[in-house]
Amino acid sequence: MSMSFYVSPEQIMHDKAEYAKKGCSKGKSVIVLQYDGGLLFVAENTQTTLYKVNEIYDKIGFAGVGRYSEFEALRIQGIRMADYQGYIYDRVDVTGKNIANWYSQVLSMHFSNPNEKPFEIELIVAELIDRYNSNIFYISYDGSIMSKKLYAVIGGNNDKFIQHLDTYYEEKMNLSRAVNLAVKIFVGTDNKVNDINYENFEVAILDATCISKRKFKRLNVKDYIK
Amino acid sequence: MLDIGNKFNENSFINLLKKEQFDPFSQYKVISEQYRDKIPVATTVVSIKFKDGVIIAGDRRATMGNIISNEYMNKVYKIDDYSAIGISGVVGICIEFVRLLELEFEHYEKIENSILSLEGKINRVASILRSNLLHALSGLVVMPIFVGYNKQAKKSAIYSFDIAGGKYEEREYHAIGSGSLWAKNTIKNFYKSALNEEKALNLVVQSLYEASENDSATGGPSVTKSIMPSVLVITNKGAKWITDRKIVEVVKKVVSKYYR
Repeated sequence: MSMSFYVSPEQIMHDKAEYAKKGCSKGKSVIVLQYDGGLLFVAENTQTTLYKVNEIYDKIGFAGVGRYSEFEALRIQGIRMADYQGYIYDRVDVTGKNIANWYSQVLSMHFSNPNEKPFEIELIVAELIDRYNSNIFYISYDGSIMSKKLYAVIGGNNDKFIQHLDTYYEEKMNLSRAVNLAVKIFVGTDNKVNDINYENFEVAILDATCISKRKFKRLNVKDYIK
Repeated sequence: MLDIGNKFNENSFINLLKKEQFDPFSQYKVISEQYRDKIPVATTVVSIKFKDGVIIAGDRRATMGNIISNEYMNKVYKIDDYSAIGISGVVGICIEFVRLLELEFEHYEKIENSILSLEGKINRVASILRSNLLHALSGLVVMPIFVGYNKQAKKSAIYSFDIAGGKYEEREYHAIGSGSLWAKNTIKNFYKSALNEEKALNLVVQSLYEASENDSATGGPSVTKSIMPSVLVITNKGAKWITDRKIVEVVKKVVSKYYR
C-alpha cells in the first residue's frame, strides 16, 4: 500500500501561489487607465491576432495576462455569460461586478482544489460608467478580487508600473496623452527608449463618447504617439 | 466549467441557449385555428436596390384579425452597420427572432473577433427559420427580408426566405407581408435600375402608400398622428435611418399624386 507524505495545507497553498506567480510574471503587462473620454487598455503583445484585450459586453472590457489558453477560455465563457444575462433580462442588467465576481469564484475554486493546477493568469474586468468614471476589477490567480478606480496593472512588472502610474497619472488626460503615458511606462522600465516597436502594442478603448451601445474599439497605437 | 469536452469551439448563441435548456423555438404548442385572431400580426416590408446601396422600409401597423393592435410598431431592424432585417408575421415571434439574430451575430463577432460574412448571416437566418417550420405551419409564421451591403465587393444584396428555410437572392427588389402584392406591383411599374437615393426613397414610400390603400392590415402614413413608415438606407458608409421629417416631405409629394 502506498502512502502519501503529509504536507501541511499552508505549504500546499504557498507552493501553488509560487507556481502561479511565476507563470503570471512571465507574461507582459497590461495597463488600464481612465482618460477624459473613457477607458484605455494598453498591452505589450507581440502576437498580431491573439489579443490580450477584448470586448465582453457593451461597456465591459476584459484583459488577461499569463497563459493565453487559460484566459482565452475564461474570456469566451464571460462573453457567454454576459450575452445570456443580457438576453433573459436586458442589456443594462449586465454588470462588470457580476462578471468579475464569477471570474473570481472560478479562479479561487481552481486554486484551492488539491487535484488541479492553479490558473497562471491575472485578469482585469473593466466597466465604463461615464467619461470620467469606471469600475476596474483586478482579479488575481488565486481568485482574490480588488476594485480600483482610475487605473490598474496586471502581469510582469506590476509593482513598478503601478509606482509609475502613481507618480505620473493625471485625471482627465486626453486620449493621446494617456496612450503616450502608458507606452512610456512600458518602454521606460525596460530601458530601450530608442527602439520602440509600435507593432508590439495592443491598444483598445471603451469609448464613452460614441453613440452606439457597444463602446469597445481597437486602435492603432501609431496614430496616437507623439 | 470550461467545456473541455466540446468537440469544436462553440460560437453560436442559439446553441448556447439550447444547452441551457432554453430552446426559443420549441416552447410553443401548435395552436388551433380559432385562436389565430388573438395574435397580433405585422405586415408589409419593401426593399429595393439603388445605385449606391439598398433601401428597406416598413409600414407601422400590427393587426389582430380585424382589430388594429398597434399603430406604430417598427418592422425594420438594423442588425449591424452593413445589414438590416425587415419582418412580417406573428409579432411576438418576429421580435424575439430579431433579438436572437442580433445577439447571434454579435456573439460570434465577440468570440471570433471578426464579423460574420453576409453569406454566413443569411445561412444562419435560413436555418433558424427552418427550425421554426412546425410552428409556421400551424400559423406562427416569421417571414423576414434580409438586406446587406458587401463593402469589399461594393454590392448590395436582398434576400428573401420561405418558412422551410429556403433562401433566395433577389435581383432588384422584394416585398413581404399582406400588402406585398400591391407594393411589389407599384415598384415593378416604376422601378429602373441604378436609381438614385432620392428616387429610391420616393418609390418605397409610394409602394407602401399603395399597399395601405388596398390592404387594411398595412398602415398608411399619417401626418396628423405623425406616423411615418420606418426607412433604413445602407450604403458603403453604413446604415442610416431616414428621419421622420424627411419622410413627411416625401409622403406629401407622393400623396399629392392621388389628389382629385
